[in-house]
Amino acid sequence: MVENETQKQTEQEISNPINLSILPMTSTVKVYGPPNSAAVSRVLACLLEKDVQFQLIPINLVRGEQKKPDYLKLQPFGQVPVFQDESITLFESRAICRYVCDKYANQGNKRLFGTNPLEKASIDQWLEVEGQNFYPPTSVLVFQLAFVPRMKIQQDENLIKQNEEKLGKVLDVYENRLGESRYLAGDEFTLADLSHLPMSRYLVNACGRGELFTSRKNVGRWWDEISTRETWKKVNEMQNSQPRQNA
Amino acid sequence: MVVKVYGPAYAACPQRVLTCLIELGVEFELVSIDLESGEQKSPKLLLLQPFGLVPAIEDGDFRLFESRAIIRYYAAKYASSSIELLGNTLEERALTDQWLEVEAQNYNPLVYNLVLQLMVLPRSGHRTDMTVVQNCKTKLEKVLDVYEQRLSKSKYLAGDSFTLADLSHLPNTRFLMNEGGLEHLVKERKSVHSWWTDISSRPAWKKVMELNN
Repeated sequence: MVENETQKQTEQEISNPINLSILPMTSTVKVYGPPNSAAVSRVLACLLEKDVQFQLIPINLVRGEQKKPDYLKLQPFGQVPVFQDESITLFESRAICRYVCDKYANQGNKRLFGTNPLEKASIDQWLEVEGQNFYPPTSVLVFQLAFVPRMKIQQDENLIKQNEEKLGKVLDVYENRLGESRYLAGDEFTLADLSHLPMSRYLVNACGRGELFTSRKNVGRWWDEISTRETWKKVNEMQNSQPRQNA
Repeated sequence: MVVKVYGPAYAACPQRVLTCLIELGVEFELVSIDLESGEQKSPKLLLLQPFGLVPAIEDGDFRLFESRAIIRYYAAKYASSSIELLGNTLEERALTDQWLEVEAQNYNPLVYNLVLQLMVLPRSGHRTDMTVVQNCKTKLEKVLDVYEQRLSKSKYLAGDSFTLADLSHLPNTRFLMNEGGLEHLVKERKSVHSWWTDISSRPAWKKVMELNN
């Protein structure tokens, strides 16, 4: 289980590991990266769903800590997150999630990655849909609408329009699908739904594009259900307790 | 009952699935889809793949789309002592998955854009955007530098054995080496080059190339 940090976060403390497990010394699971990063939060949500204790080690992306030689030994592409336990060092958030689900199959949410090969296949299918169809237009939109203004460069209106259309078409398919089943891969919440949480949060909160979801009846219902899960709320608390990274 | 694979043999994503099925010795029937006429958006095919993409498979009543989901399913189903495309242990599976995700997230988007700019757009009378091409090439060089580092320590991406992680790279890398005119990106990197020579001479991949011709 994860306990909330109640002490005030100062800039000093950001550079120290945050211990969020009840028994910090017994947790060998480490996640490197800021909780605000979409890919990092994907892994945090999964660990919470599976009741896995972990230690979050912040990486300051603005200071470029992910490109330093020590970090590149862990993740040679210079990206976050990295996951470590007693047996493995792993990167790529969706691979980490699958590993966590397999390793901790018998605890926490046991249906997160299905209980038989057919269920797993359906979850994998929608996980791939998230990675290949949902994520690309969403990441362009989030970059253009939430990050570009902060960087004081010009937004690309064409790119925004193109990707809003692309995402709209993808969400139309989701609308049909979510009219047939409660969640993407079936009637249970799975990794496939979880994987959508991080970028969707950015879309809704940082880009003001919530109506992409709310204008679609089934997608709106689905978003409401998945974004109000206790585990996702805990991730949000971790994210909100981190002041914005400064150089 | 054989597995039906929907999609043309010349397209990257169906090739990923066909290679995997042949590696596993799984019988299949290829149902070719005419992408140029938009057959993938026909009502019948949208029932199989609602995003209007290829491939999709039909295995009796079971249906699945997304090539990397399909290959994961069959590799797990037909894992045996003679072929293990997913790794033998939990940790090996995780590394296979990691490099499969690297292909999907770091490699594929760059090559896909190159295919779009260098092949698809010119064919439909549009201009190639050379800035995008140069951008992709620069990023791809950096990605391949990481591959070079990895493959200098490890025979295959996930470890000592050929896995789905290597297989997944076959279609896009073939493009780089051929129509893409970017074989120097591979040939300039010793370990990447030997890895490519190794994986592209596997019988299953050669059979897929025959299907393509």
